[in-house]
Amino acid sequence: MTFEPTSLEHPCLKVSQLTVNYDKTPVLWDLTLTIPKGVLVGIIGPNGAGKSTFLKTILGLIKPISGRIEILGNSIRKNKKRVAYVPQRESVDWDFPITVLDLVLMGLYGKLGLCCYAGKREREQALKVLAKVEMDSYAHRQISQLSGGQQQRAFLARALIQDADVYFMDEPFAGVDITTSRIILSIFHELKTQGKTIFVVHHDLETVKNTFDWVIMLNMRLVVCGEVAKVFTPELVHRTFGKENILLDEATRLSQETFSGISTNSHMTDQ
Amino acid sequence: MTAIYHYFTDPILRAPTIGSMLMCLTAALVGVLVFLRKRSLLGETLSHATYPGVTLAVVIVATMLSEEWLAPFILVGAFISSLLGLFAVDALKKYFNVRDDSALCFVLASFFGIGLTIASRVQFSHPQEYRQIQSYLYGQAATMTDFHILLYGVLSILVIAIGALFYKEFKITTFDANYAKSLGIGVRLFDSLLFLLIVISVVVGIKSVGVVLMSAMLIAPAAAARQFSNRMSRILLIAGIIGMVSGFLGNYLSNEFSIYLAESNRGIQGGIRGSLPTGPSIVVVSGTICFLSLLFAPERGLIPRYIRIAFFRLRRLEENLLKTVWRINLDGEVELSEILSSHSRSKTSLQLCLWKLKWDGLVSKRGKKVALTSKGRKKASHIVRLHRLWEVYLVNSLGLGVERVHRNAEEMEHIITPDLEKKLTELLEDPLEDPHKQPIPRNGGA
Amino acid sequence: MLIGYYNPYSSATFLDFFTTLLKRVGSWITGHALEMASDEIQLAVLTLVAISCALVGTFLVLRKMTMLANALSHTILLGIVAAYIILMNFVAVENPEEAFNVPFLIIAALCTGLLTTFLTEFLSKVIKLQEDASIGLVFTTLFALGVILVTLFTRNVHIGTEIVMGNVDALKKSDIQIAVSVLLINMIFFTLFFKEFKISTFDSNLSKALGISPIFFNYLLMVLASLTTVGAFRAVGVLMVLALITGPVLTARLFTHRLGTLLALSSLVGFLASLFGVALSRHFLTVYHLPLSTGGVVVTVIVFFYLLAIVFSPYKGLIKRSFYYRKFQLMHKK
Repeated sequence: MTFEPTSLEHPCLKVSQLTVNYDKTPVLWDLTLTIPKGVLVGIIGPNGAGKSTFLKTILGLIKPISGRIEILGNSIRKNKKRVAYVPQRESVDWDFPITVLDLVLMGLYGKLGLCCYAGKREREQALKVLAKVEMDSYAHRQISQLSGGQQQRAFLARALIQDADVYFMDEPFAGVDITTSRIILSIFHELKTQGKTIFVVHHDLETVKNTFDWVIMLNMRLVVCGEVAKVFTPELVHRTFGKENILLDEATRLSQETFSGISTNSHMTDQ
Repeated sequence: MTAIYHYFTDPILRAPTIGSMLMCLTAALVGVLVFLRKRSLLGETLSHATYPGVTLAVVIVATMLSEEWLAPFILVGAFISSLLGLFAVDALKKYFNVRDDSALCFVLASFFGIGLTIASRVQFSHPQEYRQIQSYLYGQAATMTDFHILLYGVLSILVIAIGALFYKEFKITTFDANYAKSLGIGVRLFDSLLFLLIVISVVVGIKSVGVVLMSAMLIAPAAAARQFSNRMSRILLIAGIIGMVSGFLGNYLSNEFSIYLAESNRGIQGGIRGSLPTGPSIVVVSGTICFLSLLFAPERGLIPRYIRIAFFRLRRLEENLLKTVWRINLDGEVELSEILSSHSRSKTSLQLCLWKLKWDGLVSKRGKKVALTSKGRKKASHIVRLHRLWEVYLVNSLGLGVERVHRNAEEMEHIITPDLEKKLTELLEDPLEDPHKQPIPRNGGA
Repeated sequence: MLIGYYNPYSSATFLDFFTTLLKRVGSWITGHALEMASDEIQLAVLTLVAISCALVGTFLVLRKMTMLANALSHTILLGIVAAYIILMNFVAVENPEEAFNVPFLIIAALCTGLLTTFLTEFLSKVIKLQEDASIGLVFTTLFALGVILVTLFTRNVHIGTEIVMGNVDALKKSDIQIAVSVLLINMIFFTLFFKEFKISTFDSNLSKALGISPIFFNYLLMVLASLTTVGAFRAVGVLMVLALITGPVLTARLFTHRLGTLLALSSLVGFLASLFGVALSRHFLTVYHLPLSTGGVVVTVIVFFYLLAIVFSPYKGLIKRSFYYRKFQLMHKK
């Protein structure tokens, strides 16, 4: 696939020395990376590596200890309207009494003022994006009646209606059927031709090469960030997932215990 | 002041005291299992669900039978009613998609409301029976008799016996139900058995602490005991003791306080008109014990944790100071001012730290000069070893840039345990130099 | 001017109740001045309280915060008792009963609401005690403390039961004002912030990302719940508030998939339950000479409605699920 990313002078995302703590222990260390506009970026790493934390920090949901984040040249607070977020499906109770249409309309709540309601124009917008994900016939269905793939598509529609420039998605391909995968990928391509940038936390190593343009490989620290063709090598994959990371995990756990005041089992021997 | 042993011998005092203690023991033991399953609020629902059974039993006995049927009828009524409540919660969750908390609250409120409606039926027609029913709201330990001791004793023994008999099964089904199932243990059976035990303890307990407060005795002793041990057998033991102590103290305090009020006139002056009710006293005692355990338990308590953190900070400062001296002049003396300039802390805290290091025999001080002892040298070089080892790990194994590893190593050098050090040494094959080309002190060397 | 108490509803049966009510409402609308009968006061307060509880309850149920509401309703006792003691012993007033007025109550309510939430959060976040035990520990201990204070400082032994079941017969006209104000406050906040409550309940992550703080709306909901509980306290007591908060919502949930409809329908269920409850209570008094607790009757009616809903619900109702119905459907599919 060919693409023409903009130069790194006006990047989409610029992160410098980002450190995020949990219990006084860094769970994301000193991340520095730059991502250009108009690319599809995969965020890869083992479980507990901090991928979702990374996403949430960029979105401003978590406060970092240090470091700077710039999206499209500005802080996230100033650029909230240009960014769309699709959380993990499990983070939500699908038994909530709303229809698919209601769910999609929620994407506009940021734009609609405090006391404004979603009117006819907004509803038409919602139906349009639902048609894009091939869910328009489900518009009035209760969300609990949807399959996993349909739920994901509804989530995607909710993000699309925001008409953002940057999209952040947490594991959109997890547990979805082939139709949904196909639809998600075609939407990605369409967004890219419009010059939008898409970040995807992804779990399936096999599909990275065929899906993404750029990749960020994380395991509490940045292993590498760059074009897939150049950096997605077995050596770097091994460095991200390999067992050398075990000691890091253990050290992180020890650190968290120490700073919570829980006594560690073995202690420094006095010499 | 009544002597303590009176509470176990005096015919008026012993029934409430022993009865309460037995009930609290049972509740505490069962409560541990409930607590470990994170279903502590089930007790709240089940105790409120006993109420319609209690009221109905009293109404039936009052209108159709004679006095001596009262106690057993109430017991049976409470039992059946609570079981129905349990089934209702289960059905709501399974068949009607109601979430756990809503199901518990709805069953709690509905059963209780129905019970109150039934109670109101006899409010004016049978005032004596009505008072009986009301006594079950907050408990009335004082009206317990030796019969109750016998009854509750038997039920407590039953609960303990079942618990002891199936201890292994309860343990495994609480900890990992799926695994238990794969071993062929009937998880549903033991779950049901546990719920049965909860209902029995609740039914036993409502006489002394009442319907409204019963759930406290399932929660507080268990939560308190959890703070003191990680082993289930010990937790059960401690919970049982805490439960019994609460049962006793609640009775003791309420009784002594009533005597005190009666004998002095202080009460009326302070605006006090009533006496200290037993049931709520038991709950307040157990709640207080629990709060104190949460704050002060040696391993997991909040205060010991904060103290541990403070000690860590002190140790960290000490180790940093040792390192500084080691770096400036490892064999000889170092000016105090040099040390002070390289640390951004207050002069007093550094002085204190140096004093502690001297006390530990790690440095010697002569006027304004400080030097490491051989013991101090060993320790300092060990810290430096850990620092540099960690840097090697970060650069070689994890691929971090050399310029970025120092700061993290500054933190980790105080945290790496000997066990982790051993693993690092093995993984890195005992390196001689760190990424900055500095030598790594040998293990145990100077 | 009538001396002595005349209640147009005494000796009314269930149906008579409604005809009398309609007649009186009719004549009131057409301009005749009427003194409110006690039954009508009860009806007014209970229905208003029920609607408030349904509104707040909808979001509490959806946010899985009902146990916290249960906790609130227990600890409010402590707040009210503490306020009462302070009033009696440290503030010089002529008639304490009268002085036990609304602003004082509101402050007591808010203080205990905040105290409950704060203590529960402290236990679960700082001490790291599991959440169910945190809530349970806080409210049982504080409630026990409240009961002790009540028993110690008041000779009124009935306070214990009144706290728990309320005293519908002691309701006065001023209670209607309280109920109306609480309902208005609830309606204003829920209408103004409908979207925000909706999204922060459903998807707190997205909500935060869009700039709508879930924490703020959590606290707002707790404040509204505290106010509603205190407002309802005199009428139905602490434990039955819980029935009014959970019952109508769960009933309405069986009939609708839309949040707005859920709010309206649960309010309707609450309203009807109060209406029928008062009427039934009067009926039982007249026909069977049984002075049942009106609050308790209302709760029983709520349970009855829920059971009806279970049978007839178009989604999960027993009828729809039954073997015979399915057979029936199969037969007619050809």
